[in-house]
Amino acid sequence: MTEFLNAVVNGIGLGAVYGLVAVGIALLFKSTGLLNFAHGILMTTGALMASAMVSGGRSFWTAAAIAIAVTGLIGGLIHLSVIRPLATRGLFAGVMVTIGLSEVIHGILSIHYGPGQRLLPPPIKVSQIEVFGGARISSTLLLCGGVVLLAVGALALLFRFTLLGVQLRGAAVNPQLATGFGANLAVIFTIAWVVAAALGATAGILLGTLSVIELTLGDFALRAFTALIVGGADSIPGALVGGLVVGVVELLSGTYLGSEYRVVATMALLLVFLVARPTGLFGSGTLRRV
Amino acid sequence: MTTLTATITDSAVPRTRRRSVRLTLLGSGAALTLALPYLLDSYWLFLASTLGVNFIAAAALNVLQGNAGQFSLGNAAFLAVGSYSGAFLWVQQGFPLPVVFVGVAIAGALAGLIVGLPALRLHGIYLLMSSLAAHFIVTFVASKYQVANFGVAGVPYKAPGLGPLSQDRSKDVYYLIVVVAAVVALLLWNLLRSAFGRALVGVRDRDVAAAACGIAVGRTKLVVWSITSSIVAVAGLLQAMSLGTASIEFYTLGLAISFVAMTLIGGNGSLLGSFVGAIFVTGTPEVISRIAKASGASPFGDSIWSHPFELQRIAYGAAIVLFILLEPDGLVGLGRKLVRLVRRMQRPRREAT
Amino acid sequence: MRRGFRVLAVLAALALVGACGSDGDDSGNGGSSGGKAITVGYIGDLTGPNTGSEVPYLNGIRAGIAWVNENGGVNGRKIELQVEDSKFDVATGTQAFQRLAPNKDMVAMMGLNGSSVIAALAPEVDKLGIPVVGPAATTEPGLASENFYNLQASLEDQGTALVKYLMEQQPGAKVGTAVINVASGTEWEDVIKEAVPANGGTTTGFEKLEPGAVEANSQAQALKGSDVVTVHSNVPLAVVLVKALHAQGSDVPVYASYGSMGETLWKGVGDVDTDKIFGVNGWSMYYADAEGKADLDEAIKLTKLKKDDLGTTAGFTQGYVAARILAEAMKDAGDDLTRESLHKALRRSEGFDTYGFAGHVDWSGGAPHKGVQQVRIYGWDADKGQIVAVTDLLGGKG
Repeated sequence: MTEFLNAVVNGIGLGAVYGLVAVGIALLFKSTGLLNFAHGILMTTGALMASAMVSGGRSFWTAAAIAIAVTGLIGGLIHLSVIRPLATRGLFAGVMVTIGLSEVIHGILSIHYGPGQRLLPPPIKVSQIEVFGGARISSTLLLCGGVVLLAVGALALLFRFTLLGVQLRGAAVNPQLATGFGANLAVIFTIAWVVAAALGATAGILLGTLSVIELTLGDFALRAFTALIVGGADSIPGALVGGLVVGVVELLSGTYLGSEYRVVATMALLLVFLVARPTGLFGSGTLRRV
Repeated sequence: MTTLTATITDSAVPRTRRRSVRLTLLGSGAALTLALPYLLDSYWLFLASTLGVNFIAAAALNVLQGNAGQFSLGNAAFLAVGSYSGAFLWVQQGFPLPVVFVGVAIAGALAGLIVGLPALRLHGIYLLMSSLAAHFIVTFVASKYQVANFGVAGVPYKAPGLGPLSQDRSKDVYYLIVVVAAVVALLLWNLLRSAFGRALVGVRDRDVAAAACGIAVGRTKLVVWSITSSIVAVAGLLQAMSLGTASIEFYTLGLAISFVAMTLIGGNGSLLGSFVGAIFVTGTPEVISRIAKASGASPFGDSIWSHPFELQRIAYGAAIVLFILLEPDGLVGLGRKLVRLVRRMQRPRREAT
Repeated sequence: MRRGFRVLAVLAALALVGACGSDGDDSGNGGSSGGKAITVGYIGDLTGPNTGSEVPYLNGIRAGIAWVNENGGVNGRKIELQVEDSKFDVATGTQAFQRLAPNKDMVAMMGLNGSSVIAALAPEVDKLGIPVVGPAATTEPGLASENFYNLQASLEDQGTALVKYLMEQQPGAKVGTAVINVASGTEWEDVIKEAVPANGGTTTGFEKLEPGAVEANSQAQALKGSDVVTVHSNVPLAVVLVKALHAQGSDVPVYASYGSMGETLWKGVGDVDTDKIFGVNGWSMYYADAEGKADLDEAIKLTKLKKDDLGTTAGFTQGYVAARILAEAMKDAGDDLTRESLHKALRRSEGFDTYGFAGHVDWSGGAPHKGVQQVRIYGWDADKGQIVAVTDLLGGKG
């Protein structure tokens, strides 16, 4: 029983990380219709920046805050410079541009930070916390859970109750109409990018504290795509739920099938959803025809 | 040179003259391609073979993506299907080469059929995700197969003996690749100009309208997935022969993306674009490392040319971004614009006479 | 229209190829005082997931070569290194090899780490008959080839010596194992499976770690009943495993094989007791208190390498010693330095010394030219922040 509980509890913890990453991707997809393949490299950027600052002597929290802010700004810059001209160009162009950007930024990071692994100290000193039933979970994962809940809550409020949120929702369905109603697409999309990039940096930093930071940290984002589909690509709470589902499935299959089957199990889950319910658990139900 | 281009491009020049000039060029191009192994050293020959394989796989992907509109990140998976089914048929079972080629093509077609099934119902990001899932699942299965039968280092591919025509390994492989490339190019060229090719475009642009016109959309999609994946699988077999080994670390998502980049940079939907794009993506790292060496920068110094490998990555990414932003029709599109420019420059001269 | 373009494109490509194809020999025969420089080729993963260990290894080679060149060279001749990047990709590695191969003046190669690169290139190396000194992978093709001269202790030697040591410390101990889910992991498993019962212990389980994993909860659960855990993976996965074991309340000693040990292992485990974490390795760190330390320090000064360049694993030391050994063999080969004479020199019966950084190296006889056969167990000095040996040389003959 402890085995099962452990798998579930830690699955939820890992799922919180998947969820945080997926929320960043879902935010952009929901607002701009773009599937951001550069999310992973933005995660890596945040993690490397924070790690470099901590090595330079700053405290974890200061370093994290600065790294998140700067990465957010980078996200905004990316939108203004490269993404905006692509407004009407469809999925292929959007995905490939973000892939190309990812390569460029990867090369720059590699030159600037060099090879080699970096470390980030875990933010909370007590490294694990015991939860019910004898199951234990790392405090960083708990923190991550807290952060993602906060993020989802804040974004839900944003989309429902603020002008920005309403304009973003409108622009997602019909950009021209939204402009007609006074939405400045350049501004609102840039803000969406800033927030998404900041979320990515946060995820990257938390991920970095769990293990070691390398340039390949961003590959984690690929696995979060499953969470995105399971939850519903344009639903932000869905991204979180999707992340939790993927995390639990992964850990359960690790415990009961064997650790080598973890990734394949999540891919199988992805396929099941794609075949049976592509819009995911909470998606809006209209398959975007692009 | 102006007269030459004029002769080829200028529609005012009589057709027969144009045709004979084109045929001469084609003929000399073919002769050069055949003579290449005797002109180049092993390094450049290897590069040429790699280019050939890349062209084959890119051309197939281009038909799938550019002409049929199916965005796919599955190329690495299909290459793996090719090299590992080749491992089974050739390295393990020892079937004769023609049989192996046919077998690999069939395996590729089957794989394409399976991966294409979701394409019947999915569009956009969902189709993309399904090709992503296919990538991971295929590579997982392939790695299990490799470890169970061959171990860490990968599948050892010996030289493909061509019987009485055999020379040495790299030449043999090169000629095999050239033959297959020519066959594939002809096949795809004819395919695109046929009714099937038009059906593809209909499926890509307006599948509902295409169905109304009597095109069996579902069947068309499955057929194009099967054909293109079959071709990519054969390319995977050739690549393994060229490298001398097939190992699972090679088949990464980045590899699949590089083929998408080739079609994009060369020109989506264009056979020539696949060729030019393959040259660009295969050749740019080469050019950059040559410049870096020529600059004399030490690999451990501080100048920008001390990091040629990162620069290659940046150039690759920048090329993708720039082409999407500025020239979505790729190098072929650029070329067409240049031709139009040349024509416009010629016209006043003719009018003056 | 299209065909014409295609032909033009072919011609253009050929022209480009023709223009560049002629300058195949980049070796730069800059002779310095004393004679023509000796060319040594190097292929390694300078970009890609292994750069953290590969670049310090290359830096070690450079340091060794710099020391040799500064201290009389090889019979008065200087060594020149030609560096190529394989980018963790077989195709690129093959291309890199093709670029170096035409150079008849290249008498030796170094690097060629990575089992799939070795597998692809071993036949080519054999065709050229060129000695390859110091590759770090210890797999089949590298061992079967007459031309490869390995430096690192094989997984078998490491594992066997480790198990013997463990059984001496804790007779009858229950040994749990976690390995990275690639083929060298299976190799380590096999070694443990055989050595543990042979030395009176029992094995409790064999778990797999996925590359890139960020938690190892299920694996740690499964290993709970062990008295000691061995791990063979890379450093990040070892960090994750140790943290997971700690999270499960399992604070048993953990022994990491050479691939999973590095300064980052001890530094990265957070509040886990670092006194319980050990590593096994054939090679010591560059700051080890070895007889060759003074020369090594001199070499570092010569190449102006900074601490970051030296890496956090024993790769630097290996590269340095590999270069020094190669130079010694080249000296032995005398004035007529060819690939054949170098082979002979490398196979000398008295073998080579490693200046105290590792055990003795003996490549006499035919393949496999195994690396050092003795290992040390290493622990962590928290005050100095350094990896230190806790035993003398173990294992090997005798």
